[in-house]
Amino acid sequence: MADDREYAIINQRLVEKGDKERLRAILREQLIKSGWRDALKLECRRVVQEQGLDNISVDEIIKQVTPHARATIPSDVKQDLLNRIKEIVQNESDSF
Amino acid sequence: MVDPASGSQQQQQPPTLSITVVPLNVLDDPLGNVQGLDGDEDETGGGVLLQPLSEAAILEVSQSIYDDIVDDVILGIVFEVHRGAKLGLTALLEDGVTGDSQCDFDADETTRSSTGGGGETMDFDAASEMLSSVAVNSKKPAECVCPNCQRNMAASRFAPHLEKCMGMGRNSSRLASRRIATSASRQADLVSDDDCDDDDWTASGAGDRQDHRIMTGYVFEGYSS
Repeated sequence: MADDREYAIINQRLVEKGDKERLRAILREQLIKSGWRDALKLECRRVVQEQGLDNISVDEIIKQVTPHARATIPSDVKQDLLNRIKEIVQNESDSF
Repeated sequence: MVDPASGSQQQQQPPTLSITVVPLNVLDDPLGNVQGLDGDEDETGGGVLLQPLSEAAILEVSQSIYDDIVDDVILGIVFEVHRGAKLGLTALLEDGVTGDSQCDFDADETTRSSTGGGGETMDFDAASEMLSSVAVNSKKPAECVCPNCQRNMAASRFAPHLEKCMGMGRNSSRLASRRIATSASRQADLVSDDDCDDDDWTASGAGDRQDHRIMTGYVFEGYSS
């Protein structure tokens, strides 16, 4: 797949330039504001209680929580972040 | 995550070779291999230089970067909850921990993205959350488990207990020294049944004390001259 290669290069550039970290901070801030973060925390705790504290692992929590978490991100937050990313990727792509 | 191509290459290498850090410029080498295997387009780029992406490709790359970032944020939260649960912090003060850590995150973000634009609302959110969590905590008495002796006790008694239990602080140092003293004297009783003075204890109880002092003095003089 041709996209993997471009993805690898662009991703590396974003990491090196600190864009990714910045985007992550923006997303986190917006998700806290929207209450998504707290909801996810409750969900995680529910999973932990369900599975029992002794036989729960980080991997297990992630597996159970991720689909729901991804789906519940507010659409305006998602759209905003995607637009920012698209802009940056566009710039990177133009500089090829 | 950096580049799967070079990762797989390292796995294929025999273990005797040393691992070298691959700079970004060399990235076109494994990619060139992939390109050759794929056998599709753009020999004109000749390596690092790639064609500008199409609209669809940009969308796709953006989507995967978005997924990366979202997964990262999720992972951070899961780590936090998992750590809290395993250490028993969640059970202790339900929301107090999250309130504190969120406050930290907010501080980070407001300093990092110094663009303003909602910084005040963030602070307000964090403050109100902290207040509410404090109110919740003050209503129900929290129980603490001592990590040293596994005893259950009220939170207000936890710090003084820990001080004594771990052998720190003024009072407990007295306790600890008494404990050490009793165990030492018990040992001394086992070893020798005459007086348990420090000098005699090392001298293995042979000979007179005066002789011993003179002897050591002589030895020291001999050493110094």
